[in-house]
Amino acid sequence: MNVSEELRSSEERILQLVSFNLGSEEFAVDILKIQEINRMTEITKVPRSPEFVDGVINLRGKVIPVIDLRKRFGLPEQEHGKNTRIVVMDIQRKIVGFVVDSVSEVLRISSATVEATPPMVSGIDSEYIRGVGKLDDRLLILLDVNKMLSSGEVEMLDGPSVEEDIATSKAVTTDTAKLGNEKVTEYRGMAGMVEVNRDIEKAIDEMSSKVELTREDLQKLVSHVKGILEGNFMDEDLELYGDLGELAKFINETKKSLLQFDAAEITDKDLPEASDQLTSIVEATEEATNKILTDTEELLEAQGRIAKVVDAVKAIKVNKNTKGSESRDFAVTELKEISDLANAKLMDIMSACNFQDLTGQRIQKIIQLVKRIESKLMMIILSFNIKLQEKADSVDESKINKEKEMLAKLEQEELKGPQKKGEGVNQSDVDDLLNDLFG
Amino acid sequence: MLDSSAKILVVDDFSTMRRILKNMLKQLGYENTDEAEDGNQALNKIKSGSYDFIVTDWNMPNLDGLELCKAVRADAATKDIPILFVTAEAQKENVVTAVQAGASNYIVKPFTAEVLKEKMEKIFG
Repeated sequence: MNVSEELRSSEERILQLVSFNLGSEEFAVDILKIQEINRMTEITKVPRSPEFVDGVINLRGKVIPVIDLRKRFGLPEQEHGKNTRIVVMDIQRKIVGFVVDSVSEVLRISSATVEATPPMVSGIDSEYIRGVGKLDDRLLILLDVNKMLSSGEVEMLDGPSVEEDIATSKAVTTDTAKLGNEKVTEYRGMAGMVEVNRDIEKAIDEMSSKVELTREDLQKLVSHVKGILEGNFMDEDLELYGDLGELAKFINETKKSLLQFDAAEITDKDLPEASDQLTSIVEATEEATNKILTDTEELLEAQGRIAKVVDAVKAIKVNKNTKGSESRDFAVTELKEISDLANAKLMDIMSACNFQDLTGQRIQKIIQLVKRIESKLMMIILSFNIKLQEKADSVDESKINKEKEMLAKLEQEELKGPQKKGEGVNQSDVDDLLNDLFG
Repeated sequence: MLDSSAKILVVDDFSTMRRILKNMLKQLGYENTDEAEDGNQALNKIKSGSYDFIVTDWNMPNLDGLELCKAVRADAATKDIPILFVTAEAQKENVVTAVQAGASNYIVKPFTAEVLKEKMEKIFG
């Protein structure tokens, strides 16, 4: 038996999985079934929804049903913490979110290490389980995503279908690209690496059948490439052959730069902090604007009193052609002019407060973009097997929920919001158009 | 022009903007104003109270101004209430879409009390 035959004969496949935790158990699902992973957000209860659904979340305008996986598996319920994640998956062509205690990493395990399911795994019904994977001393419960809901249950779900989701993703991707700065471009490049990983696996397959290499060479090569994919770094002076070697080096370099770039820290700390800061700005301007409005309202009230003073002064009886008459008329004229001016200026101040609404909308759009980058970056980090080190300093959950609420306000993609100077149309353009429309 | 006792509903998700609009209306002599923070809330109020005029933002959570406008026009009891859009959406298509949905007039933010007055004069003749 030659090398290629030997490699092919074992029907070994590499499974690429995302692992997550529920209590003390570690579960894993096929990475291709995962659409995205999000931080915990407020789950809205929906009246008359199927009993197995806990509520819905608003994910960039899409309303997605959410199921608490603890409940689903009959595990005791637990309060959501800072590690709680909603794993959005494609279940029989429906988009569904599952609440899990935490998401740990992307794993590559050989299908050979997966064993058939024992009838009961820690009380969880075996119908959901595809098998049990062994990874050093860890026991990984592989879930069969399509069986996590019965077909009857899937029909009861109102969420968007995968087809709709693809359309939205396309729109979102285009939008992100447009809005993208240097970093976004960088992240997108990294996202491409997931594809590269797959290409390498294909290349290994092809090489084993075509290339004339010694058994030793090939095994060395395969073990190096696998090592890189599984999280090790390549020795600097390692010699690898041909295209495969080039690809392996490329992945190695990318992983290194991801680490230097401190992607995990950025996703876990910097981006949420940026959102918090932006939210604070919106709140601060709102507070300041309300203060200005309160003062302006008080002054406008005072204006009403000045009008009465003018009337009172007018009513003062003085003899004609005396100094008193001149003074009175002067006072009336001046008071009226000052009052009119103050009135006009107060209304101008009031109009200027428009800015709060306009800047608020822009900032909310930026918060939304930051959230998208966070979600995408998290997927990239998981794909590259970089451990997410949860920091001890917890993120204030209530703040996150508030942000999500604000984000919900921004979901309408077709609305462009405030126009920049020189973009969009001004009021006179609108008036021309209205004249045309109303004939 | 609209009678000064007219009941006016101001719909905007930003509290500062509702306040600005109410103040401007007050300056124009309209003190009988009410507010709603999104289309759903507005629609509930419109169905239960008799409003003479609706001033609404476009981009709002839950139910936006455009959908609100369509819903008001679709109901025989409310279809004739004039609706003025006050919005940051400043594309030509937005104006066309709003008018097709039944908007009575359209103001682009930021705006002044004069523009509001002028638009109301146009609507109420």
